[in-house]
Parts: sequence; structure tokens; C-alpha cells
Amino acid sequence: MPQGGHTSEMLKLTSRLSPETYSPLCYVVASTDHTSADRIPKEGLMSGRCRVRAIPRSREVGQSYLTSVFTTLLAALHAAVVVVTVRPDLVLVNGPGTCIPVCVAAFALRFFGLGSSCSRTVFCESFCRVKSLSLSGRIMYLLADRFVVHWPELLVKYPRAEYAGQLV
Amino acid sequence: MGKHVFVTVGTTKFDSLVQAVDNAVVLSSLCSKGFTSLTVQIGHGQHVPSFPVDQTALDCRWYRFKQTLHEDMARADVVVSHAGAGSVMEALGLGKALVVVVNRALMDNHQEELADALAQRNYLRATTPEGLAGALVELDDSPSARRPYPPAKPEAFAAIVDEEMRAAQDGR
Repeated sequence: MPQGGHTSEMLKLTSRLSPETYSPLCYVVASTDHTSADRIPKEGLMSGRCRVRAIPRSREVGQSYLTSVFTTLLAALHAAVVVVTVRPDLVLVNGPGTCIPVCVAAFALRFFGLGSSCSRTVFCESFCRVKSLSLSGRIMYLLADRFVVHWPELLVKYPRAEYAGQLV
Repeated sequence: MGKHVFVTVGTTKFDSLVQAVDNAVVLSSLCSKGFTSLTVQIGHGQHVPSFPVDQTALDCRWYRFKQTLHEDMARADVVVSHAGAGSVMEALGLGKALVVVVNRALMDNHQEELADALAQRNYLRATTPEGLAGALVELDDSPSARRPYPPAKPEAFAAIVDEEMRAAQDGR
């Protein structure tokens, strides 16, 4: 359900992007999230060259932080393979557990000159977050080039965040 | 045609919400406000409504789940919903009078933050199961009693993404 919420928000956020500009396009979903993998071809922005790649979740909802370290490493390895093969110009994420390894991999590969040399990252926090950031949000606040929130309340504590009005 | 109330607990259960609606005072106050039908989606809840009211005046139904709640939401004049973002956004998007019931039993309660932020802006009423009877008795479902929820602008997000895409491609 929380993952489904992220998928719904992402599909709405990307609904006005130009399919011509954003091609090729790769959607990354959690390997256990079949619902999202099914929804994307039906409801998503579909450019000419579009694919869906699945990676293991770095953290299931409710999993302890300690074991999350190991599952995150495994997910990061899968994510690195995706990032190296896709070499994205732009990584767009909105915070389910799957997004962190992809961003960490993109960031690390950019650092070592293996990824796209100037890939940019845009993070959009969940609509539910009014006064505090999610765990993904707190990490991505440090990594993302643009950090978008749905509520102006968050700008007080996070001045680098952007509020662009009601997006979903 | 009379007015319709739709109550939804979402994908889990929220017995205290169902119990608060399944109450003689609440149901008869709905009748006196001109409501003629009520549908309650109860999820996995244990409390099955008994609907203590004259059901020729208020046609009461319940069910556990449906593939989509969209039709029930669309036909309602008033939606009483748990605080999950999906249901809240759907009801607001349809322009419904909305009463959101926050489940304080949930840990890590961002739902409450969201409901409060939307209530502060007068898009909906936020309450608790204990406060629901009062909120429904006082409910004013006329459009002038609330602020219409503005349509979303995903193009503002697209503009940010386009800027970054240009920056990435220029730097290449």
C-alpha cells in the first residue's frame, strides 16, 4: 500500500512530461511490487523506448534499521547494474525504499566517472509529509540536485527544499 | 433524489470509525439532514453494522471490499473517510464534502499531519472516532461551507524536471 501510494504519486507527477524528451525511459520498481509493474504500461508516461526494471527492495516497510544495511547493499549492487547499463541523464525519485540504492549508485558512479558524467537527481517528497521528512527524504536532501515538497511548512526546517504549489 | 453518505475505512480496518457511524443518534441526524442512503465499507473490521435506524427513511448498506471505491465515492454527497492519502485525495478531487477520521492508534502518524494541514485550509473537516458523532450532527454539506480543493498542477513539477534535464544535457 505505501509503495502503491508512491507509484500513484509518481504517475501523477510525471503526467505532464513530454514523452519525446524523456526517451529512452527506464522505470525502476521493487521486484516484489507486481502491481506497479502492471500499472506503468497502462498509466505511465510511455516514450518510444521505455522499459521497466525490477530491483530488490532495500527495506521492507517495518524492517529494522540494522538488517536494512545488508539488504540495502544487495539492492545497491542491483541498482548499480541498472545505472551503469541505463546511464541516465536524469534520475527522478519520490521516496520508496527502492529509490535510495538507485540514487546512491548514480551518485557513486558519477563520482568515479562511470555513470553519465552529469546526471542530475530530482526528489519529490510524499504528499503525506507536512512537517517532517521521510527517511528517504532525509537522505535525499543531501544527495538530490532538486528537492521538491508538497507543503510550505517544510521550508522552515529545510530551506533547500522547493515548494511549487499543489502538484498532485 | 435524497442525499448519500459513503463511509470508507480503506484497505485495513478501523472498527471505532464504523462503530461511531453505527449509532442511533448519528443515523437519525443524517435522516433529519435529508440523507436517504448510507454505504459503509468496513474492510477487515470485526464490527458488522446493525444500523439502528428506520431503514425505510435511511437505506443502509455495508460491504468489506470492492475492486474500486470510485463509484461509491462519486455518487456520495458526503464522504467519511479514514485519513489515508489515497482516499482523501480521491474524495477531494471529486469535490465531495469530506470528514476525515484520524486513527490515533496508528504509530508514526503522518496521516494526522496531512488531515490537519488540509483541515486548516478548510478543504475538509478532520476529527477522531470520538468526535465523529458531533462532527456529523453539526455537518454542513453545502459547498459554501468549505473551500473547493484546487485542481493539481503537475505541469509545475514538469517545469522543474525539464530544467534539470536541460542542465544534464548541456553539461554532457
